[in-house]
Amino acid sequence: MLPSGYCVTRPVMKNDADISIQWTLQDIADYEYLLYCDLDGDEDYLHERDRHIFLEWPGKAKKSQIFEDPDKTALFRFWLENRRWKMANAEKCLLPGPPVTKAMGILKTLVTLSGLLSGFCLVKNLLYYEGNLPTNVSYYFLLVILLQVFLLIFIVLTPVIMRTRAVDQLHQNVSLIAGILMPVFTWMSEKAYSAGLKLIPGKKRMEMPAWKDEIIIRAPLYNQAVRWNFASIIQRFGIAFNLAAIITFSVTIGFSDRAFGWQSTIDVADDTVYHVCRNLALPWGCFIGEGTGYPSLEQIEGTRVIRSMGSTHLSAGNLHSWWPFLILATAFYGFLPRLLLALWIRKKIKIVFSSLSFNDYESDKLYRRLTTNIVVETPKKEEVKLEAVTVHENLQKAPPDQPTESPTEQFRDLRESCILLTVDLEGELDIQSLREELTKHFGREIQECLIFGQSAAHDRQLEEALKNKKIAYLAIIDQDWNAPTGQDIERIQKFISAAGDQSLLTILLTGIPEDGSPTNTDPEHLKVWKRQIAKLHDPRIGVEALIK
Amino acid sequence: MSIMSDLPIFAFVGHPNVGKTSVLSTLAECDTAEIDRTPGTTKVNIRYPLEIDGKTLIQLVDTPGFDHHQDMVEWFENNYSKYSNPAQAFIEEYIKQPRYDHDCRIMKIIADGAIVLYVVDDSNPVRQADKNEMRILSLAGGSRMAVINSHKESGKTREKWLRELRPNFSIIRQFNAHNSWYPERKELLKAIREVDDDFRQRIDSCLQALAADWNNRLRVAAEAITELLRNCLKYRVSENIKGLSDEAIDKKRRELEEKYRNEVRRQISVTERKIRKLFKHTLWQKKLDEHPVRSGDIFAEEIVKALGMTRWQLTVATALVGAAIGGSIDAMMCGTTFLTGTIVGAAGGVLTGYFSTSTLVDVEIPNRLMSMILPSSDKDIQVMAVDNPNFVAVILDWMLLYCHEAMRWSHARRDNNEAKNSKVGFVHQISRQELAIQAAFIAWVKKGKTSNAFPDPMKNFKEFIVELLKKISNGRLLPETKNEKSLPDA
Repeated sequence: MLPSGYCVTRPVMKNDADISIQWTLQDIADYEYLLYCDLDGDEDYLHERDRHIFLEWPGKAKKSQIFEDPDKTALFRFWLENRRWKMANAEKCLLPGPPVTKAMGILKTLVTLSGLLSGFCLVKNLLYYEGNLPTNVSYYFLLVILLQVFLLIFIVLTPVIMRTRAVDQLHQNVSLIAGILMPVFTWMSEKAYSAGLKLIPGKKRMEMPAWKDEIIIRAPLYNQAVRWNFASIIQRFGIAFNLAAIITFSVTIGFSDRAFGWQSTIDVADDTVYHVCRNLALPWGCFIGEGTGYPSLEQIEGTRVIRSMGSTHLSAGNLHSWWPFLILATAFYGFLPRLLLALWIRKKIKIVFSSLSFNDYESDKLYRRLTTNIVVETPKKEEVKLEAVTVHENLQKAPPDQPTESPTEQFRDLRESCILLTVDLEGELDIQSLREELTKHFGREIQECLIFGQSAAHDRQLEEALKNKKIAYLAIIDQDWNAPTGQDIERIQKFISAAGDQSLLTILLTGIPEDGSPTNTDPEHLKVWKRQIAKLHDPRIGVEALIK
Repeated sequence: MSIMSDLPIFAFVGHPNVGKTSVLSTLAECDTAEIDRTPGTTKVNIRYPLEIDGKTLIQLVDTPGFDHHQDMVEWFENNYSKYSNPAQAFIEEYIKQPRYDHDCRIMKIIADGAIVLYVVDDSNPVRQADKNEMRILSLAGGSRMAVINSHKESGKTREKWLRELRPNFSIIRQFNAHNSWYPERKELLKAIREVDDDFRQRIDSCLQALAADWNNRLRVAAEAITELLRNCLKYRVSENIKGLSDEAIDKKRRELEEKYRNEVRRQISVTERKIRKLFKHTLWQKKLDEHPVRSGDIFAEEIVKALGMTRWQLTVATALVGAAIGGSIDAMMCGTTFLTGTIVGAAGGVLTGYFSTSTLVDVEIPNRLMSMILPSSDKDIQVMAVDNPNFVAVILDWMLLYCHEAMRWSHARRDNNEAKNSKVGFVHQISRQELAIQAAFIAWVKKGKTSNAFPDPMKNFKEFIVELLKKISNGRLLPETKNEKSLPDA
């Protein structure tokens, strides 16, 4: 049970209904940590805590007391917000989410910086210009443009290839390598883990194997999310690299007069280069045409550097024709695709996070705790006071099971004897044979057999009748299962006092009569009767079984 | 006529000792209520609020038995027409007389507008007292139904009871307080729903909540069993035996085996406690300890033989575990092994299963020759669960049996008859497909292997246990009896 005064949920906010169901890596980290904390928790406590959170959730669709099919992602998100609030405010605990986000932020910054730096350095080197010969654009073209074009084709074709059977073979080949490499990596990671373990202090070290197991079990759940997050980081590098390339290129040509040419030892025809350039310039060709957006055939011929001819054959106008093409190609095949890809991955991450199924073992437990009602059926004794002291309670102070000696033997010399038969046994027992039996049993004639219990008025008349007789011996015949109530006890007391101080009363008990005859008494019932009659502390009253 | 509050109150009234408290104990799953053959055990009204998410939906009230039915019936017959609320008028007249305390308490709850559930015990004939009480209730007014608490054979008397009850009660239901559990509780609540249409929706909500709660219990029990099995399969004890003599190694082995067994026993005991708490039993454990199977030690040979799998099941299961492990090697080798791993694994599994012994504990002792050749090789003796799937099957059967008893043991019972129970287990009845789930779970825990068919073996295994528990709960899966399975002597 939750401690009294324990505040389980954070205060409900106005915008709680709009809590975004969008999950982030930080949320996942916190969620996993909080699930881990609950692993060995008391089920009742966790159920009560989580159910409280559920009942605060504005998104629940209520149908009477039962809430039906809540949206798991949104519900878990609300649970997470509550638990975070609780951990941060009440328990002053640090959650792993913020450090994970911080680490990811640092990683992104480092990747961006390295992208910028590598773009700058590479372009700076590729645009190296000594002044005697034009800068050879072939390297730039190959390393910055063509390579990125191939990468782009690969990225576009990968999903298509993945759907064909051919890739299965490829995948198997990769797996073969992985099959060989995997044990090596496993061995290395095990060694690293063991070495790392030695650095961790006492209690944490003891917890590590359990953490490791949990991570191994649960990591596949977030494969997609992690994969796309890393893909996003790679795109960040690409964007930074291309941006740095474009800026460096633009600054270089803006603040220095550069000549660009191309050269090749292989006998590449000028029109081949022209066709490649024209095709590559298709995306912007219709806006910025030949001669400006990409070099014309004449410009290509005019910028080909031939070692034996030096730079004498090169016209100054043509030497400036390459840079717009190179910058535009970098932008269109490097920067823009990376940017679009980054935006697409960003969208994809959102889709992956919003489509997390939370269908695993531990989430299933949490969902059950949140969505199942807490049913409590604790008995509460009535507080209403009704002058609660009863005759019974006063009498109960007598020791239980006090043996009551039958007074039959002591009072044999009194004259009259009478049977009082409960109305419930009237017609069930053969009264004549019963009288005979009892006459034999007690050694005295039973003069009368009276019926009691029809009504209060009838019993009062019977009481009066008994007062007028000199009864030496009374036998009440009753059913053993009919344990005496307050009324029965009072009636017994009234009968014995009406019969006189010298009278004896024996309560003879029978089981359910069969064919007009009494049956054996249940010893347990007999014990209950004896216990109840003993509370009267009256030696004149005894309880016996009718059939011995 | 009644001072009806929004909260439906259902008062269980009747003659002393007819089992009002027993019926309520079963209905409210409370085994702490005082139940005794002595009349007047219940001295005050005891309320059992049924709270769902902290909100009381209905309240069941246990009342003392009628103490002065004769005086009461006389008073009601003379006065009922004079008052709009005769029950309240009765209280006002008799409240000052302590001997009418019980009767006033009954009338108080009726005067407050409670719906009366008149409890009778039909194993005894109808008495004048019962007729008086029925008359009192009909004169006191209000909605009411009769509940026949029948725990003995009562052919003749039941007919008589029904004849007496029909004119006074439009709804009459039987309910064996000592042999009822969830389905019967549900049925009784459904019957109560019919008494007063105003409360139908509330009771429907209770029924839905109880169904959800029961389902939740089955899931929590399944989780507890799954986690128990995972922990037991993962657990191993080891000790370095470098330089020890053969005798010392043997002694060490026995010590470790006992240490392992004790830990498994402890984990089982913890899980049983969870399940007991789940099904709200506080008095019941010692009764179950006398069960012929459950009274034994889970590691004893006769228990292992009585519970767990048949030889056929064991052979199939070990073959499946072997195939799963071998298959993962095939996958790692990209199929270049032409399924050799799967075939060898399955064949090894068949042999292991068919010739397996009834031990549940496995011991790994380092090879002396290997130690001499490779001085750096492992010198630890290790004790763990056997790879044989029977380990899981035996513990699972043991726990299912426990759940079966926990579900069905009525909270009104204070006797000890269950020791005569001849039920032994369930695992014999599980299908080949279910064996595959079990095999996947074992392969995952022991070797960390998953497959496409069972991507989350822990969850798959839990769902498998949930299904078993559901079948047990709705009577579609019953434990086999002594005749069907060899059973050790109790």
